[in-house]
Amino acid sequence: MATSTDATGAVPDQENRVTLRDPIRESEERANQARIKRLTDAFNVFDQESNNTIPSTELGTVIRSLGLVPTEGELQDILSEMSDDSNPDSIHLERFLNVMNMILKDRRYQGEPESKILRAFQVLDTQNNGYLTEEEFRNYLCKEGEPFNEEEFQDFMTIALDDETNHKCTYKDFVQHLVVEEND
Amino acid sequence: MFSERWICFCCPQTYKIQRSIAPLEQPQSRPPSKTRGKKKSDITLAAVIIIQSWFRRRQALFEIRRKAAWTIYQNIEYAGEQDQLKLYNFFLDLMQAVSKNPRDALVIAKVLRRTSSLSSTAEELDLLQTTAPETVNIESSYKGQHIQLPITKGHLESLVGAFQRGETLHARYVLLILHEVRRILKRLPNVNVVSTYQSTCVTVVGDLHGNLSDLLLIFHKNGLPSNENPYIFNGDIVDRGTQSMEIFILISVAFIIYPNNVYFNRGNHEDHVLNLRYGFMKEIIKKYKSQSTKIFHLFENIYSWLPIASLIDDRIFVTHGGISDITDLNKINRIQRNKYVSILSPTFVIPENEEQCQIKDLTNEQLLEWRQMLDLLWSDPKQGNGCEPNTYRGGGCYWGPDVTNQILEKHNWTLLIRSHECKEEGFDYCHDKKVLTIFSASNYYAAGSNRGAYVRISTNQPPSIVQFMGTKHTVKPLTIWERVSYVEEQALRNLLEKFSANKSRLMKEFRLKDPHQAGCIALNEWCEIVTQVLELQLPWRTLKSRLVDIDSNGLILYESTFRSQELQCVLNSPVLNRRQSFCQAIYRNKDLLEAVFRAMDKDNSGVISLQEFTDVCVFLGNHNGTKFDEKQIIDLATSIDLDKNGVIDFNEFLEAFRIVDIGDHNHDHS
Repeated sequence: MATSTDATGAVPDQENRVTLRDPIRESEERANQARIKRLTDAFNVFDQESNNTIPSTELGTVIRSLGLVPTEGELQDILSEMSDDSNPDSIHLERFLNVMNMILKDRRYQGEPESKILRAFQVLDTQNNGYLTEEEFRNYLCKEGEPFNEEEFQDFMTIALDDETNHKCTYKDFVQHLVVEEND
Repeated sequence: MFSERWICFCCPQTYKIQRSIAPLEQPQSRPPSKTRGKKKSDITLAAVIIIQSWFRRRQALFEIRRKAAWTIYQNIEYAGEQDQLKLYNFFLDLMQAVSKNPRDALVIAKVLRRTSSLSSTAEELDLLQTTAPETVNIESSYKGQHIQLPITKGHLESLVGAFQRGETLHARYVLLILHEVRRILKRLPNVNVVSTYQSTCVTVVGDLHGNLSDLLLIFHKNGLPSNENPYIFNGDIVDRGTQSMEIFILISVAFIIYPNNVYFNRGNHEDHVLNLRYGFMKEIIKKYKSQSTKIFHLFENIYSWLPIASLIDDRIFVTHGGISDITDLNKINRIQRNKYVSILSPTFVIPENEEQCQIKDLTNEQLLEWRQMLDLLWSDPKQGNGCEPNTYRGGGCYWGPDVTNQILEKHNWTLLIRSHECKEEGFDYCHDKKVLTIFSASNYYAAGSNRGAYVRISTNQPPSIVQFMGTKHTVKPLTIWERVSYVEEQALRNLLEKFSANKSRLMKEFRLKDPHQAGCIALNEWCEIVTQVLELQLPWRTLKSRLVDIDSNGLILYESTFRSQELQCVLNSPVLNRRQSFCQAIYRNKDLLEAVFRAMDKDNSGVISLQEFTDVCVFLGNHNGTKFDEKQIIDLATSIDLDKNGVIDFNEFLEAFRIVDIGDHNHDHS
């Protein structure tokens, strides 16, 4: 930068102009680098053989562990964007980074605010009790939408129920459990 | 920008069902009068999907933590195995270096193998005499099981009961059973030939690693071994757990009763070099005190007679580690397997007597034969094609799906069953379902870390896998959330110990990146430093918040790692800085030093005698070209023997290395 304060006041030559800093672009570049690092790290947890691939079946876990909230359907869309027809069972790091970097940059799949999640429980709680029972959950979550399998449902119930005896979930508290942040 | 369900509550009509969703049972068109009902159901659907998606996110956050914990365990485990091999290579190098002088080689051979310079017939006689059951008397106070030949099904059942009650079998009976086993093993070929024709099935059990409750659980679920219920035990019965002896005895007794329907495959831990470090030796010394030398000596010999693989119905090949691109059944069958007392220390580098020193004359064929064995016991599969040395473990190789195809085709096999790697579900298929890993020790890294599994092979049927999980330590089964937290906590504790053991080196590197002593560095720098210093490739970014404090700018407050209470305990907090670094060095190398100590302690007495110490000094002295005279050696031994009782125990040994370490330390800084 010292050369730009030329005593003669001459216009900086071509070379110096190139080195002029562009703060906006620099901060974008920094953000970009940070995103790439974060994505690579999450990816590597599942890259068991350190060969820059993960099984397609793990994609959902990787994306959700980044704190994103895609539906199963949206996940399929992301998967088809990333997958390579010649090797459909695994996902390569490069394609993962390309697609995911855009998703993070555009802030897609960020999920609903807490109030909307609470509202979702209230919709299911037709009696306005403030709680839902195991039976009600089973009817909704295992039969509608993108249904839970039995294992998912069991796991869901272990954290959803207030305690082991009453088989009820006071969902206002439970929402707090659902929205935990990454790395908490 | 936002997904459509975002606005679902205000305008549910716009909600579009994604293609992977189970179709809703709703008519395509509805009469206008029911619009109200449709709207309500769409709202419900949207609400359900929100809850499902958020829950799946929550689960994934847990999953990644569990995975990270798993990675910690595996990395630390393999780093340990590598250390042991490095130590071994060090001894091997020493041996190669002194090969010109057979006498020296003999000394170190003794240190490593505790073998004699006798001919094989004389050696056999010597073994039979020194380890004969009659050499051990039964004290009148012994209240445990009594065993007489012939061994029967009744013995097996009563031993299962006795071991469940926590009894220990008397050394005399241990020797009795081991000699019976040895007698039968010596008749067996290198590769067990197993047929399901009569029994219709056979059960393959993977690594048990001293976890008796898992073996008992398998027997409970799958029945005791019998002629109708054959078993293959695919290696790594011993080490790590605390009941290797009981497991080995139970399997041995079953083997003696049903020699044609119980099969042993040797594992990489059926090797006294690994037993030195991974616990089986310690277990024997603890349980059998003065008799432990005999028992250990006999075990060493028995390992060398264990078959190295099994072949079921000519189509399923079962071995502990796996294969490599040179694996060849004919060559394996021709190996004289008992030469390999330790897979890591093949006999051909150790002279049979003083005149016959063969280290220099090692031929290519000998090396290839050794590799046939080494690769079967030590290899791991990989996803990519090809075959390369296994740098992670330091022994054997990694083989790819192309090698699997090539070797299976060559031999006309349909499946390879192997163990050797802990899997979260207890089993794992890879290479297009042509390779099956079976691991039978549940809760291997920590309570809840993994399931165990065994596999039943029936004639002309696909393998049927049974999973299980021992729960002896918990009153009620843990939920998945509790399990993850527990496993994670144990893993992090291991990791924090690594941090404390390397504190000075870490702090030195951190400070280099922090010239203004602000106490914080960037996340990237922190990750790079810990990866380098600890030599562990871990998802540090994912782990960071549980290892170190982070300030509001996202900078790492690197000193915070060492502030935790646990670390204070490990480090005995208020000691001098200088002293601290010695503690760390000792702590860092404790496993290694313990292995050296056990190797020097030839008679497994738990202490090193003057004679044992002299042997090693003479050898090392010759290697360095500095001759110690007898007085010097005695002075040295006396200086190590702090309590002056004539022998060196392990604590004194560690202390001695601490003194050596001071020298190293100063040297580093000069």
